[in-house]
Amino acid sequence: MIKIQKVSKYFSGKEILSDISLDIKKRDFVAIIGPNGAGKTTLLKTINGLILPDTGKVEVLDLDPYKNGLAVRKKIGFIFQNEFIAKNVPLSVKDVVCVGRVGVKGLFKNLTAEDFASVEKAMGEVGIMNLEDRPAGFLSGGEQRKVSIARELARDIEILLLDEILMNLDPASQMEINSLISGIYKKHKLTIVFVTHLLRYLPEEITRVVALKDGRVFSDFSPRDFNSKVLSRLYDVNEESLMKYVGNFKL
Amino acid sequence: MWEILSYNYFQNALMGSILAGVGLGIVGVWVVLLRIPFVGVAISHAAFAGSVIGLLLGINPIIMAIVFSLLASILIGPIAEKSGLEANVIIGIIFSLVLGVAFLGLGLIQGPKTEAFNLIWGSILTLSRSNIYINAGVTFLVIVFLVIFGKEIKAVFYNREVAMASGIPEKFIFFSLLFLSGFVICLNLNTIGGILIFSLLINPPSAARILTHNLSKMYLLSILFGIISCLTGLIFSYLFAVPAGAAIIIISSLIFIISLILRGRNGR
Repeated sequence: MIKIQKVSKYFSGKEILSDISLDIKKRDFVAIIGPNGAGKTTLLKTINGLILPDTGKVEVLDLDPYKNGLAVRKKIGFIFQNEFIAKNVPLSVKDVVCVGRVGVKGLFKNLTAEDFASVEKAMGEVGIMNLEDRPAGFLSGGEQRKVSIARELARDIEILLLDEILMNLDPASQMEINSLISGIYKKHKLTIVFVTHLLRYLPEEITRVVALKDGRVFSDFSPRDFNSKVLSRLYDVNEESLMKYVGNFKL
Repeated sequence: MWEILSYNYFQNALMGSILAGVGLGIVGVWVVLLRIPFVGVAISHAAFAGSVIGLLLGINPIIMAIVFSLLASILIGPIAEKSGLEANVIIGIIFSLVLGVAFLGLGLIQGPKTEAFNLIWGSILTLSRSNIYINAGVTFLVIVFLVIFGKEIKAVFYNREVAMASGIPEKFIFFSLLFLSGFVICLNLNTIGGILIFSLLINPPSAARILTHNLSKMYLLSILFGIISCLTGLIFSYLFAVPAGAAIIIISSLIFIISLILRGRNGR
C-alpha cells in the first residue's frame, strides 16, 4: 500500500531522511516514534506527496504521490500536528468538516446532498453533531481534534496519517481520541500511520512500531517485541530513568 | 441638490463608489482572513511607483501603474513560496522596493508630477465612463471567481496546509486571490487613492467579521458596508465640499466603531 525505497531528504544541507525503506501493508496500524528531529513528520509528508524526496522512490496505492499529488491525496487523510482553527476565520464546525469533501469533489462541482450526508455521518461518528453550528475557532483542543478527525472521515480515504494528534491535550482527551482512532481503524478498515511521542497512550490495535533516529529506521518491530531496552537506546537515556518517566509503558 | 445626479461626472462617481464598495468589500474579506492586510499598501505604492516610472519614460502613467501593481500582486505568492517566508514578509519587501523606486523616479522627473500623485490621493470626481466599465469588468470577474471557487477559497481560509493535503489546488487558489486582490486595489486607486484605500480594504470586512461568525454573511455585510461608506462619503463630500476619499474612510471607520459597540452590547 505504501512503499518507501531508499528515500533521503535534505533541508539546508542537513539530511532529514537517510536511506529509509519501509513497506506498509494494507490494514497496518503503524506507530512511528523517535526523538525530535528524527524525520517523522517529513516521512509523513513524503508519503502524502507534500515533500519530494531527493533520492529514492515512494509509491502510494501504486502511484508516485508527488507526481500524482491531487489524485493520491484524495485517498489519504492527514491530520497535522498543531493543526488549529484560527479564531478570525468565520467557519462553523460543519464548514470545517465539509473541507474534507472539497478535495474529493474536485473543481467546478458543488457539494451535493450525498456529500452533506457523508459530513453528517462523520460528525455523528466522532460525536460532534451537537457542535455543528458552533464557530470552529472557539472549540477546546479536544473538540478541535475531533473536528479534524471528522473532516478526514467524511472523505473516502484508504490511508490515515496522524502527526502527533495527542499533543497539547489533557489525559482524558488523549484517551478519548485514542479510543476514537482505534474504533475508526476497526470500523473503516483503514491503514493508519500514527506519529507520537506519548508512548503510554499508544492505541492497543497498533500492529507495528517503527522507530526513527537521525533520519534512519532505528528499529521496526511488532509491538510485542518492543521493549524498554530499545527505547533507552532510541532516546539515548538510561533505561531505569526512562521507565520511571514513561511509567506503565507496555505495548 | 438632486440636479447633481444629472451630471455625468457625478453619475460616474456614484457608479465608481458602488463598484469600489462591492470589489473592495469582497477582496477585503480575502486579505483580512488570509491575514495579509498590508497587501493593499504594497500594491497601491507599486501603482504609484509605476506611474512615476511611466512619467519618467513618457509612457501612460495609468498603464504603468496597472502593470506595476499587477506585477507586485503576481510576485508575492511565488516569492513567499520559493523563499519559505510568510507572504506578509514578502509584502513588506515589495513595499519598500516600490517605495524606493517611486522616490528615485520622483527625484529624476523634471516636469509636473501631479498624475502620479493623483493615484496616491485619489480623485473620484474625475472617473471616466471607461474607468467604470473596466472596474465593472474586474468586479464581475471577482464575483465569478468567488462563485466558482467558493468552497476551495473556504478551505484555503481554514488552513492552507490542510487544503493542500486534501487534494485541493491550494496554490492556484491562493495566488489567484492575491492577483485578483491586486487587480481590484489597483483599479480603485483612482476612486479612493493609494493611502486611503487601505482603510476601505480593511474596515468593512473587519466590521462585518465582528458582527457575524458566518462567512457568507461576512461577504454580504462587507459589501454593504463598503457601498455605504463610499456613497455616504461621496454625498458628504458634495454637501460639505470636503475631499471624497477622506470622507469615505472616516465613514468606514465609524461603521467599524459602531460594529464594535454593537458586538459589545450583544456580549459576543
